[in-house]
Amino acid sequence: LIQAYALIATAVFNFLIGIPVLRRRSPNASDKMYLVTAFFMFAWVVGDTLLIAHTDTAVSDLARRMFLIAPLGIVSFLVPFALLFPNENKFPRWVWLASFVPAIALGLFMAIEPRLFITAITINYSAPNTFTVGHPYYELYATLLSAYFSTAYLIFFLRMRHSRALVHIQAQYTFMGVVLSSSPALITNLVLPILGNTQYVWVGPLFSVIYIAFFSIAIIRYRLFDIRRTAVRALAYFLTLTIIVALYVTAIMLVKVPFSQFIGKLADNQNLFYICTTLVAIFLFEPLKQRFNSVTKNIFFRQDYDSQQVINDFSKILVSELNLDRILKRSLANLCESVHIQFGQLIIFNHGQVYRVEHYGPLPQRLMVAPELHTLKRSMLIADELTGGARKQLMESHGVRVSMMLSSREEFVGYLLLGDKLSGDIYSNQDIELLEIISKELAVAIQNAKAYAEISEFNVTLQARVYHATNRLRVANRHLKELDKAKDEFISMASHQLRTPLTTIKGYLSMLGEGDAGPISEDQKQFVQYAFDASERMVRLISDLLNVSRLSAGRFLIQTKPTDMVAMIDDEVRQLTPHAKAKNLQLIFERPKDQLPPAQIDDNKTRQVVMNFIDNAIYYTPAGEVRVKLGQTGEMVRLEVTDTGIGVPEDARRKLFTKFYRAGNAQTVRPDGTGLGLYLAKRVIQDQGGTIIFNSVEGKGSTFGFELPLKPPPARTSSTHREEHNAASRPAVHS
Amino acid sequence: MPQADLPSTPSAGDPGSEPNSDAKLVLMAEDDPFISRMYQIKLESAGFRVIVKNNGRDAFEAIKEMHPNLTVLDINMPELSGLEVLAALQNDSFDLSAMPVIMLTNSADLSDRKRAQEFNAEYLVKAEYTPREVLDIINQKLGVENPVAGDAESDPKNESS
Repeated sequence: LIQAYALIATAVFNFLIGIPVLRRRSPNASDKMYLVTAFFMFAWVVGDTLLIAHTDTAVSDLARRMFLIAPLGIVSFLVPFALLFPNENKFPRWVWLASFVPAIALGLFMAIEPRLFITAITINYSAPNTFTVGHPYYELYATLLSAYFSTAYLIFFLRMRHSRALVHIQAQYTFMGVVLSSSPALITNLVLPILGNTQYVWVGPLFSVIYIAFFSIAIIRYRLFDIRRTAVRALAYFLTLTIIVALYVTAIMLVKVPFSQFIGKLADNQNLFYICTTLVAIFLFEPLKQRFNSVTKNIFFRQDYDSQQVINDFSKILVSELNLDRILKRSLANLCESVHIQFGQLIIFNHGQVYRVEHYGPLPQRLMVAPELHTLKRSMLIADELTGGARKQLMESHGVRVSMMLSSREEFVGYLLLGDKLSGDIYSNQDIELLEIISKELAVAIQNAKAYAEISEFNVTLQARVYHATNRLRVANRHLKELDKAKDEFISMASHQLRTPLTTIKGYLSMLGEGDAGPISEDQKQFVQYAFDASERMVRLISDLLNVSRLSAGRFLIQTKPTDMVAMIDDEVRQLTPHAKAKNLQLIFERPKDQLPPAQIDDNKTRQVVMNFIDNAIYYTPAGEVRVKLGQTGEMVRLEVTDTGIGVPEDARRKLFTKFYRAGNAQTVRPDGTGLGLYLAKRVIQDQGGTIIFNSVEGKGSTFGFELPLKPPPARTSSTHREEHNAASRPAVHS
Repeated sequence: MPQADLPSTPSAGDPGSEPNSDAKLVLMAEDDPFISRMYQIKLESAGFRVIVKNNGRDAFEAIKEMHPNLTVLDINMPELSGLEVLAALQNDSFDLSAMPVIMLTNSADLSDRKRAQEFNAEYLVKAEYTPREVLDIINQKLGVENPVAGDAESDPKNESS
């Protein structure tokens, strides 16, 4: 029956329209209502088909029940659907009662006694079956359905009147669809049967196509239910099916009608033909479906993309970039271009404040400010999935479809805001999954880049600081050098100025003592000698000072000449004996056993060293003796001055020979010392290729001395060279 | 500054203080009169004739004119320094090798010492030597056998040679 085929097609149609809604990410109550409605529509169409097409009386009661009860299902869910339309989630509990109780009551009654409503069915083989309805039951049934439909019309109408913009248009289409499909069906399936005409019962379900058409427009053009993508895919399926069925039917018709005489004879071949045609249809299905998929894709989803490719590109950017601004710019551009998003915005925070903002695409009229952004503090918000509320309002007023909070390792990084897709489509599962992956990677990369930027900035400040500090040091150093030079010049000048009067004092004192001004008494001679010795010491002190300043200025000159060391030390011992006597010390000079050859040394400076050693020994020895021992070991002359004095404390030994250093106990004994004697001694001895001898036990006494080569080492250009040379050649000298 | 009188020739001086024609002539250039007087007394008591000049130019003229047996030169002096005097003499083809020169100075400048050595002159730091020691050195330079039996006790350097 051609009517049956049409009805089957309608049933499939009804079924298909439900699929996209079913596949939606998070169907709300309204969607569910619609789904149930669609299911009952399908059931009704099947019931209708059964009723008009069945030939076996066994299925008559099933056909009756389906035909009668399914419309009750449709209407009892249509009213709540109308109430929830388009995106409401809740309605009062009494609506359920008012909507379902009468329908369920009547439905149960019908299920038990279907023959009260449809009393008899006349089975026709070449035309649709007809039936007679039971009075007044069928009238009751018709009244209830009409009441339901009227309520639904009213609600849709009110919804249409009180809504604006997109929702208004969606409501308009839905209202038109419901009215235009249900009212003719009410006539063919309720009014006419009551009047006794059941010939057009099969037409009723066909009107559901009108409803489907209007609904599809609302879905595809006006984004009803946000299910465009799946709806379009369903369209592709539907087209495929339609073509296959059409081809199948045409093929059968072509074979059946003109060649029916031939085929009648070949009944077996006819079955074979059907099988072949069916097989062709089955094999055609997949390629055709693909073809339609790509056709619909080209029409509706020109801007499709490969998630994996986008993620790969994204990773490449994040790996290749370290600079924060470039990461933001490139990754946002890549995301928006791949997913075909109108505009995107990245707002990065640092220490609770907006740190960087990056845009892609045309800027929206208003940009969100930080406090507004913080109300979106959710890992992901999709405006289309929000059901009202401040957040949805905020997002829609700024044209933001998706908001993602970026965070890495529990740390808040910023927000990613995305506008509409270029296609006007809503964000699909694929988009959302992609965004979830990308946002995590992006957050980590941003965090790293931030850290890198901070380190770089820190590095720059550090470099500047080091630079400044170095400069200051350089200036200070130059200043110090100038000061040092001035000090040396001062010492040099002062030494000269001090020496001149000292020459006169010392000279006349010596002449007075020598009797050049006439004979003097022993006492007078003694006094003059004291004054002379003091002036002599002062001369040496000045000489020390001058030598120290020369040492630091690098102008310390050793002048050697053959010197009789025994005579020199004799001289010094004799000069210092009165000091020793004054302290009741024994000053003993142990001469070398053999004749000592003259030593090639700087007479004056070495003499000062010897004097310094003996003078110190006397000063720092409260009781006992000072023993001066001179001897020769190989090519070296060795001098030791040993005392029984206070000794040098352990902690002072290391610094003893440094400039201006004085040991603690020495300072108490002799507060006026300069701390230059030993320093100069070390320099004088080392500069002549010798070594200092030093041993001490605190409280027991010390030994100071030196070993000097009898002949100076050959290379004597500068003191440093000499020291190096000396150090290298010393073992050879000892052997 | 109150200027003290220079010490006069010692009244109780040595018998050999009277200059005679045999006596060796020492020219001394020294701008500090107290110092020059000091050396003069010591040297004259040892039998030398001493001529004192208090600036470099006069010293230069005197040396050219008198050909002293030995010259004692200070370095820092008015007109010409001791080293400039030597340079001037050399320029004037004066035979320096025939006349021992002692640079007697308190200069702390080491380059002076080097230049003195270039002129083959003895370099002594004034403050470090007593007049007696200077006299010993002069005697040594002139090859004079210790002419005065001085009191050895007060002169440490006496025993060293």
